[in-house]
Amino acid sequence: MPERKQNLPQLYRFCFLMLGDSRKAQEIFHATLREAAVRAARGDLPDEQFWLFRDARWRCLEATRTDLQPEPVEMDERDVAPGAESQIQRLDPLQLAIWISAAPDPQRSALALFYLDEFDYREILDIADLKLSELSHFLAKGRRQLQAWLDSKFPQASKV
Amino acid sequence: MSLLSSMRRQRSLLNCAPISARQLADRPMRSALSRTDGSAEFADQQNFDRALARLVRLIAIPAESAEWFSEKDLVPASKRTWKNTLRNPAVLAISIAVAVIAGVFVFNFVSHLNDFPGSATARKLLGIAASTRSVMLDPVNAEAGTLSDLFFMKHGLEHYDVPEEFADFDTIGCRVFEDDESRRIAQIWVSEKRMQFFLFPAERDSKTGTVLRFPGWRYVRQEGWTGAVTEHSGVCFMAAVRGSEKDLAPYLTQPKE
Repeated sequence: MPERKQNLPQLYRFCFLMLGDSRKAQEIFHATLREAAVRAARGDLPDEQFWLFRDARWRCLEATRTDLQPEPVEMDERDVAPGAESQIQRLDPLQLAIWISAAPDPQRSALALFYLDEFDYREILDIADLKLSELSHFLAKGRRQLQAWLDSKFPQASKV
Repeated sequence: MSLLSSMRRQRSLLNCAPISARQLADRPMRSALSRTDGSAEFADQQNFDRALARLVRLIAIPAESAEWFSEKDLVPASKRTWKNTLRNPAVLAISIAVAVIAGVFVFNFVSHLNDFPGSATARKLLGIAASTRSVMLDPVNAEAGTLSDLFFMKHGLEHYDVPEEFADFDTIGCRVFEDDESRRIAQIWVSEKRMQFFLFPAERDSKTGTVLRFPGWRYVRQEGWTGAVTEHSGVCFMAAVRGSEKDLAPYLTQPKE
């Protein structure tokens, strides 16, 4: 397995983006690695290229299944603004993680995997079991929703 | 693919456009990116994505979790043991191919280990011996050693002499023929063990024309036949018998009477 696919800091960040909570992210991260260590000791590590991320994703989804779910409300959407970069710079990583973790899956997985900047789109399709059109839709919608949220959070910056 | 669906696919690809250049390997993606023509909308999207990716990289790794990174072998890459490597179909196929090639080399090496000048011709003549019937030869009732005069006088073949070891054997028949390289071959059939003798020109150096000599007797084998070959005065003599070297050895070691 190439080293990039086992990038453990990125695995933690993925858990963090999926859950929006450092403590929960650590639990899932540790559980995933413990499982990997046990499998490695037994000599039956899967041959799948992205099994660590796939395993962590299912654990994250399982962990949030019993959590309080956000009400399905129609979120505002705005076109990505030229000045969005400065708005994002004012964000805290935790705020972004909370925002992404609140998205319904599979949009949540798509956004978390995409913004890790670790995988190309085909790899994301593989890990999240998505089609290209679905991934494209979730990312485009996610950008527009995030832009609307940024505009509401940092209204002055959005007018630049 | 219709123009509409092609454009839709291109739009989909652009929505998934890589954030950093290291993920540009995909050809359809490169093609879609090349058609953006520096659109402001796409540039905004890229800036937006890069800013978010930078923010994600700022996510701090808790000390407890960072401990796992130092233990390099905790999640090892699938260990490539010798056993696993050998089970790999590609390695297996290459190994078998190499083994077969090595086998062919060894076989050729061993089979040519005892080669000598004229051994190729001797093998061909063993094939002729196997297919010859006695009716194909002219009947002759004489000792084999006396036929050298016949070969010289009737066919002009010099030094076509049967060696002393086989000179006393009674002949059933003989003939002279040309092989596929127009060399004149004398064939003698004797009653002893239905043995056949062959006399043929010794091999010569292609540049100098000198006879390539070799000392004593040499064995050749072909299709169940064995021949003992010796060279004398530029002519090779071969005693051929159906069987093994054991069948010929007593004649060769037999002392001259």
